[in-house]
Amino acid sequence: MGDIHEVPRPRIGAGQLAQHIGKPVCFVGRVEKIHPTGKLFVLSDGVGRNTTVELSEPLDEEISGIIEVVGRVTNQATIMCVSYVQFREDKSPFDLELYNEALKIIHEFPEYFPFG
Amino acid sequence: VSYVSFPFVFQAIMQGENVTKPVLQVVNTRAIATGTGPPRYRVLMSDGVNTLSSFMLATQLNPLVEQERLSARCICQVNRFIVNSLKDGRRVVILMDLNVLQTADEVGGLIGNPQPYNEGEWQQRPAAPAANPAPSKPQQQNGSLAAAGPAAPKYHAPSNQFGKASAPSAVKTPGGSQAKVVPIASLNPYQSKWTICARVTQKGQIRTWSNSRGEGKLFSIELVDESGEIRATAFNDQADKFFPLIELNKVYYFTKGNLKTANKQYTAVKNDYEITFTSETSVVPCDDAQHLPSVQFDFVSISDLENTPKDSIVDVIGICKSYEDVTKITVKANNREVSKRNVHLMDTSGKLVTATLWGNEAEQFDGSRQPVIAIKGARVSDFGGRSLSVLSSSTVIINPDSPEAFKLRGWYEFDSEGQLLECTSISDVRGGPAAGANTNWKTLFEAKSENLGQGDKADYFSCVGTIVHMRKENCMYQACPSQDCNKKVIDQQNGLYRCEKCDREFPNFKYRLMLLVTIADCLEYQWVTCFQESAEFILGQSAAFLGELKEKNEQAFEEVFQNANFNTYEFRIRVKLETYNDESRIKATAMDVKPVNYREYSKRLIANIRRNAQLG
Repeated sequence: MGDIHEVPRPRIGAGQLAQHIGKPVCFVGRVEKIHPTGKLFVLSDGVGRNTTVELSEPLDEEISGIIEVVGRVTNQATIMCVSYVQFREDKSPFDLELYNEALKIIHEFPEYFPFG
Repeated sequence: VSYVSFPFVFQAIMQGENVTKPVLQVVNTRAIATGTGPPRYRVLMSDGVNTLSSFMLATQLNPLVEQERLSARCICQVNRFIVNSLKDGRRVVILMDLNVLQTADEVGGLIGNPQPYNEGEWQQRPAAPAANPAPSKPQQQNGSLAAAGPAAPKYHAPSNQFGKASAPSAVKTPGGSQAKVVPIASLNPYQSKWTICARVTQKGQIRTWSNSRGEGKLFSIELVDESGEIRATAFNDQADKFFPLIELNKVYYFTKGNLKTANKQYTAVKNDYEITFTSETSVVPCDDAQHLPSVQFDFVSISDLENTPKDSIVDVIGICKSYEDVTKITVKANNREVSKRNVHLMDTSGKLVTATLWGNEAEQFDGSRQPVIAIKGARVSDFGGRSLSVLSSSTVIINPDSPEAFKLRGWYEFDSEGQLLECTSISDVRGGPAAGANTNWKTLFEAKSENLGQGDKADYFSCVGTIVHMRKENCMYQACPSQDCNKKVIDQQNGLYRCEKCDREFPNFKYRLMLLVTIADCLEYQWVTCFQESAEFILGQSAAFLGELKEKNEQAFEEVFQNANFNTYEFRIRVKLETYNDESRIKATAMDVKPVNYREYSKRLIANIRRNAQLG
């Protein structure tokens, strides 16, 4: 799985997990809950859908707000996280709904937004 | 055909009982001159048994008399009336609305032999409604003098005609004494003791004046109850006392004030009179006022404003898509500083209009979270096409509690069109300097292909561009150190610098930037001249500091430019065809450079993509 950063990892929304099972993806969402074990957390996409993200090692820090996860989609349509980045929202808030709009477009026009 | 007369109806009316639409015969009408206003008509009415002269026609019904529809002997049905008590205890019935059922010609003559009604005489009232014997002069008539409405001519229990406003009701004033509440429509200058219960539908700002006769302050409000509306003004001490107490849209009991003929020039309120508060006026909040009508707006869609003549007064409602900072300008006329702020409103028509707020309203305005703003009584100006100016008599409500506001908010938040709509501003026809985020966005390719700047006037547009090159050499010049003069000075080589424009020599100068920058976007590039403010923003250093660096530390100077390169900003650009030595060239100048607002930029891109996709 270490090679996940060498391959294309399309940005997807919660509705597209099923089509990407087994594939590397990039997923952005807002942290809703963190499991007490620290090995699981739930992200919402701002329009009412939740996605579960699993980790091989428990979290070693508090996460909150908007997170971008790179990982592989499991058979259960969760994401096995390889790496994540917390978005900084101190300067300006991240518009998750606008992001979802943009996601729709990049998938509607793959000829202009090819992945790899 | 016999008719059923309706005795005791006058008694019922005078005693404040609700009588359902009595049908009466007009015996006579008489005009009473009122000096400056329209005449008032006094009517002598008959109910078949008695005559009573205590009827006054509301002025809006004057045309009925003037067109001779309401004339002696006609039969009319009174739909709405108000009983007003005069100081001496007499009562006057104001006729607010009536229908002429049969004109005088059709009726022919006076029905019955009515005798003057004497209020003092209390007549025996039968328990059941009276179906009287035929009158002494039976006549063939097409109609009959009977109460309209339900078939049985009865006194009804209080009907819904007025709700509470018709019969005088008692209200406890703070002093503990009971005062009768009268309808606004009955107010006249001949009564000084009155109480009305009304909602404040408009509240103006405090205005001050100062002239040879002295100075003072005032504010005006508009009041509404079920019978009508009226304007009220408080001056000086009363202005100070009541301005903080009286709130827009709330209901109060107003007691005692001066009534005078209204100055129709200053208001569109439909009332012949207006109120002036005096030292005896009292204003008490009223809790039980759900039945009173609330602020009436008559909204014009923003796109319709383009066809509205300038100086019209309109009501508008829109989402505040963006707003500018408050600025202070000096009014030349009286050398006073006044605050002003431009806010940009958008509605479902997709058009955007700039509204200017003044004074306190400008200072205290909070446009965060894109509130819905309703403005009542804004003036349309032709600045930049069409803009709105908020007057002291206007009312601005942020996030009003009204169906239009909810509809707008719903459209804006949930209808994807709302947020992504590429709105065009009707206030920005020529695109002035550094406007809000909603002026015309172009790509550099579009600006060139549309030949912007080639007309006789300059064109303005906004774009998102990346700096790809800057000319370091000659990016600064030595300028006149005077405050408002930026002319290049001539080095006299003797330690002095001469400014031709000021016609003076100075021992020093100030550095000013004039930076030629190449910006590029996905399709095109453009040379743009950036002056002081824009250049300092791009380079991240002041001109003075850069001047020093250039002289003392070349390497640091170079680094400033390297760091500034390949940054992306929003540019507001002015393009104009300039002729120099027989050569005409388009010159582009950066009026303003700002960090990219990525949210807005994304929205524009998404809207453009969707639009282009639809065009196939």
